[in-house]
Amino acid sequence: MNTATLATPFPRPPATPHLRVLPGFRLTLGYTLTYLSLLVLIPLAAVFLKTAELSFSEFRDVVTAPRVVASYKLSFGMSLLAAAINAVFGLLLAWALVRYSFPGKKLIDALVDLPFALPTAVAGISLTALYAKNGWIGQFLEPLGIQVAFKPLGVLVALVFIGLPFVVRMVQPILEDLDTELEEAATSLGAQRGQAFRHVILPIVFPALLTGFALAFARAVGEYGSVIFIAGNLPMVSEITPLMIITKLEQYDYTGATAIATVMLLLSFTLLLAINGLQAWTAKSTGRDR
Amino acid sequence: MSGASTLRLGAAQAIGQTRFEARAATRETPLVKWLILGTALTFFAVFLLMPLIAVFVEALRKGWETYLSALIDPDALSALRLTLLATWCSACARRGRSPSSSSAASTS
Repeated sequence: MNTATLATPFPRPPATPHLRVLPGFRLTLGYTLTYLSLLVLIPLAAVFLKTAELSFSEFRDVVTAPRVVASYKLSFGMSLLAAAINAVFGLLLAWALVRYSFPGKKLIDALVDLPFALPTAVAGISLTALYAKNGWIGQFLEPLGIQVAFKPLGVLVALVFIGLPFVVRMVQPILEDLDTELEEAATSLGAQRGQAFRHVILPIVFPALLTGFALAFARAVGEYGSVIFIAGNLPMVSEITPLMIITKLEQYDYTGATAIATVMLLLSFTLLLAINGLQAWTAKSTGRDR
Repeated sequence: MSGASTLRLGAAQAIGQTRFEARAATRETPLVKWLILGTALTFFAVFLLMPLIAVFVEALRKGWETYLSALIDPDALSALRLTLLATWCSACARRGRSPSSSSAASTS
């Protein structure tokens, strides 16, 4: 443990303050910061600057309007729920793709990326067509009293659709790299299959699963195109926060739009930070922190 | 010993099994396996496959002629060209950064 306190047999060479092991530190740091600033930091800063044009009471009135608050609840609630659903089914799908052989496996593996490539507006129209009262799926749900299209449930369906690849593509490589020896060792020590999964496989997969969850959630929060078609956009019921921003923009209320965007950014950032913290905590509790 | 197991693994791959299916310790009981496979594939079919099929069905609803005339519309062609160009440029700019996502045309 305490290797630092042990006396080293050879004296260290005198430290050279301006020489690093890796060359080009300043160049790479400068390049990275410029790139990051141009693409991410400056646009984000502009959001905050534009919002700062409002006085505090104006800001509060805009971001706590009942319609906007209802949209936060819908957006963040449904995004979390969709990410959770994707975490469960994405893990199952990744597991099936890695562990089992079945006809059409290669094709399914390739199609998992579909939500990335399909324009979201197209996804929205096609999901609406499927889940409308006379759609392929909607006609079976209608007699059960379940309405998906033009209801909050429709938002969930669209967010599940666009978030799935994140979880599958995060978890899949980890499952592929798993050595069969780990589970064989667990079995030889008397573990049941379920125990081997819970105590051996899950701790290894969990960080990737959390990352997939976080990415799916982040994407779902900002999603606009696919949701507006299927949500129906009823005020106070099925309006998502990005729609509220677009509504403000259409009224040339740029500061109002950026005010809502600021709240959204801060909420998302807090949640992502919490997920990151959870990840660090699980890494620590399983003894794999570096 | 190891020769025999390599032989068995080779045989397993020849009949299309994954390396996990070829070993007793990494294999589920048939019931669990079909439950997982069934759930995963049903989810895939409902959430990914059906929307994809619906896109094609909707696109071709009015026949090939309508579809083609919509496709060769100058506006559509120009939009298609811009999308491909922008995707290609951003993929080049991001190459080496994240190879898996660089190929995907992100469409939000």
